[in-house]
Amino acid sequence: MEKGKMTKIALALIVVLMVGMLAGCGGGGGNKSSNVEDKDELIVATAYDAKSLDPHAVNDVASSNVMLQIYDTLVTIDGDGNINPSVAETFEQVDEVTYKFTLKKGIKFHNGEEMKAEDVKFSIERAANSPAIAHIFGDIDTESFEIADDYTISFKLNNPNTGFLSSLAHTGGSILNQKAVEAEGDNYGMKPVGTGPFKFVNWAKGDRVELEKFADYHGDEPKFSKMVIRVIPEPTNRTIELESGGVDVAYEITTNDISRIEENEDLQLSRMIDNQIQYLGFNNQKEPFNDIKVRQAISYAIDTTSVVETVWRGVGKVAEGPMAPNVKYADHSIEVHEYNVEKAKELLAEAGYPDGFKTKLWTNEKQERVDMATIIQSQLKEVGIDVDIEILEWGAYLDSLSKGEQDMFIIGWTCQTADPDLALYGPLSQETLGAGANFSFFIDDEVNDLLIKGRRIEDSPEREAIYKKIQNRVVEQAPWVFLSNGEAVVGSAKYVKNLELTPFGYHPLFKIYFE
Amino acid sequence: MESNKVIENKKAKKKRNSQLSDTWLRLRKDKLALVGLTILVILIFVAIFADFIAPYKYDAQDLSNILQAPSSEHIFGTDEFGRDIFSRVVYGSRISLQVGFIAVSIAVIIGGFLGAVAGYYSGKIDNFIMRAMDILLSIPQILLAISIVAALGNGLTNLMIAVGISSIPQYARIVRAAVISIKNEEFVEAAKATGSGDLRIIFKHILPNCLAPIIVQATLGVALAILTAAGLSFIGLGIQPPTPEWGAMLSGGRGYIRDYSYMTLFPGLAIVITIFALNVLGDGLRDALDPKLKN
Repeated sequence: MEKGKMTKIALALIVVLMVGMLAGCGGGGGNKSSNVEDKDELIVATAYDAKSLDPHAVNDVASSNVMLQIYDTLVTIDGDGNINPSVAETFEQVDEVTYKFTLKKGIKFHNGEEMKAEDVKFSIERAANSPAIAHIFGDIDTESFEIADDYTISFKLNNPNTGFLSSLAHTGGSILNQKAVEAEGDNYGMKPVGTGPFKFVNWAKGDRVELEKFADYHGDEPKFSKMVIRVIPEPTNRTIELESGGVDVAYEITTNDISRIEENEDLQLSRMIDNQIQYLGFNNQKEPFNDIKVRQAISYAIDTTSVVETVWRGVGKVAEGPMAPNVKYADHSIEVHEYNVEKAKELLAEAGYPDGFKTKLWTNEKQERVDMATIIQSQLKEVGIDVDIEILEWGAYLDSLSKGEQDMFIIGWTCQTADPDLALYGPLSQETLGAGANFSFFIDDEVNDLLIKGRRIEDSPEREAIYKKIQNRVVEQAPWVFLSNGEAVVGSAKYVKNLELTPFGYHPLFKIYFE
Repeated sequence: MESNKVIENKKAKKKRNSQLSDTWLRLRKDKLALVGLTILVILIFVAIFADFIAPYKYDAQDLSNILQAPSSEHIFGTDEFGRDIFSRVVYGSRISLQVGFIAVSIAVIIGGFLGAVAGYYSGKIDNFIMRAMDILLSIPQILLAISIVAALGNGLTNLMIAVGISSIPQYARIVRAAVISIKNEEFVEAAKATGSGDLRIIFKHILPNCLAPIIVQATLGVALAILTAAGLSFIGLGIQPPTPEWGAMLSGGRGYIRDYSYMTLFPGLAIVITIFALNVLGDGLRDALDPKLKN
């Protein structure tokens, strides 16, 4: 008897719960009655946590996003690709390979030390020896540092590299304090010390990074004194937090929520096509993908336009070539590759796989990538290729990719300056096979020679021709299927002003003010 | 000897039959349990005949028809790839029931055997087996399942193994308790006296007499296994796309929950109804199999 009653109650509860679920949707709405002028804290929601705050240990957008607020670089780069002084008051390229910097005087680190040429030497040397950013700083001649006085330093590259000055604006070129780095040892990534507008206070891994205004900052004083960068992996939750006033800025707004934010009069949306290319890479050294016909066949078999439009629904665009469209010398004459199932079948038959084959498609957990993989799986089935999707956690994913265990995989590459060298050298050169970001193990002497040539000559029509040739050669060799170009979609409250987006995926939040 | 055996078997059968029909009679009086049983039968039917019931293939994408609200064409609507949610829920019943029943079978067979051995022999063997079970029990089931899937790798089979292994200790405990309670009964002694071997005694005489608690626990266990599997695939372990597992469907739909709630509503309802059915049936069975408990 007792039992029967209990189950009846349980039944009733379930019904109530469901009705509640259906009725509970809607409503809400932000409560922004607090006074904007008194606001002294910026809360930002991001999708990923930083991996480390040591600029030389990592090269990922989430880490850079925090480091950009903590550190300064010698020079900065603006949205048009112009290079501006930062902690270097003046900079000059003495000859093809020699760079000379005069530092601003009186710049303080967060630990009170003054920044001097020795710190710059220490930092750049450390960057040059770091595997994570070898594709950017690996070519610095570490024997060549010359310190004329505390505020003047010069050094050389092993080979000319036209894009190098703008590379210095990458967070990998951040200036660190030697004492602080040596004092913390391996723990430095959790206790960063920079010269930037905000100093590090606390990092609860997987939850939030807290920063505080640095009183002795050498540049323009920030307009608020506390910054919190929260990790909220669920896109829906980021939007809800923004709507309910829990955060002031939310990164990576998904397609679903765009109209919701646009229609909310308390919120605003900023968008910018960024320098990211997402691609499906093949392991070019592994059967059957070492056969160009198989790679081309798969290109023909994937209807990129419908994949991108279904998954991104208006965010970003369909990728045409190996470089994002806003990067210098992007060849706009390259068209989105053709979708032709018949041709794909023909090519597969020629390659000796008339009935297709079984393979694996690897991706990390990012929802859009899993979605793209799911559609690609179904499209490849049409030509007889049986695909298993393997979803890995980001760290494990990168690890497996650099070891060459993959068959096919989906990943993105963001060019963190506007120079084509950074867009192509990392993921396509022979120097960077595996861990250096050439995850497709693409080995092509022509492309490799051109890449090296391209980074060594000055901007000129000749350089332009080299990069266009590389792009076309890559399209022809099909080491990747180009999928989409990313777009930064950032939501913020209306009172957030001066939110400057960069095409690099991380943004100078310290410039924000409230009004 | 031969004829003795036959008589003995017949008697046992008869006894079991009468027990079965008694149970059925009692179960029939419990309306809620009957509702659960009916739902379960329908679900099994749906799972078996999914190919005929589902109007579309579970992985048939229609990219021009994504995120459609329920309509006459797609009665549960379509998901982010234009797949018919109704068809996916229908095929999903196959996955869930498969996972539920196979995982529980694994657990019952292994756990039951270990429990029976432990209970029958007692002493050192008992101590050893049950301490091992205690170690397993000290880890929450879902955590244990997560680590097993992580170790074995993804895939439906591994998911079933993980869920199965992680629920072994419960069955071992129940069976051991039941075995201990009857191993000193006269009919066991009689079997011993006629020279039956230990294994024969365990399987022919003891286990059939402690089926009741196993059945009850297994029915509830299927529900738990389905829930665990759904939980694992919700967090992205076990099931790979495009397998239409209910938990995975919930997980896939959660990014759309505010605009397209039906994507999560229907697989969620499917889980709720299945678990509810199994639970009330389990409750009813417990009452029916052990009438003493009722009072």
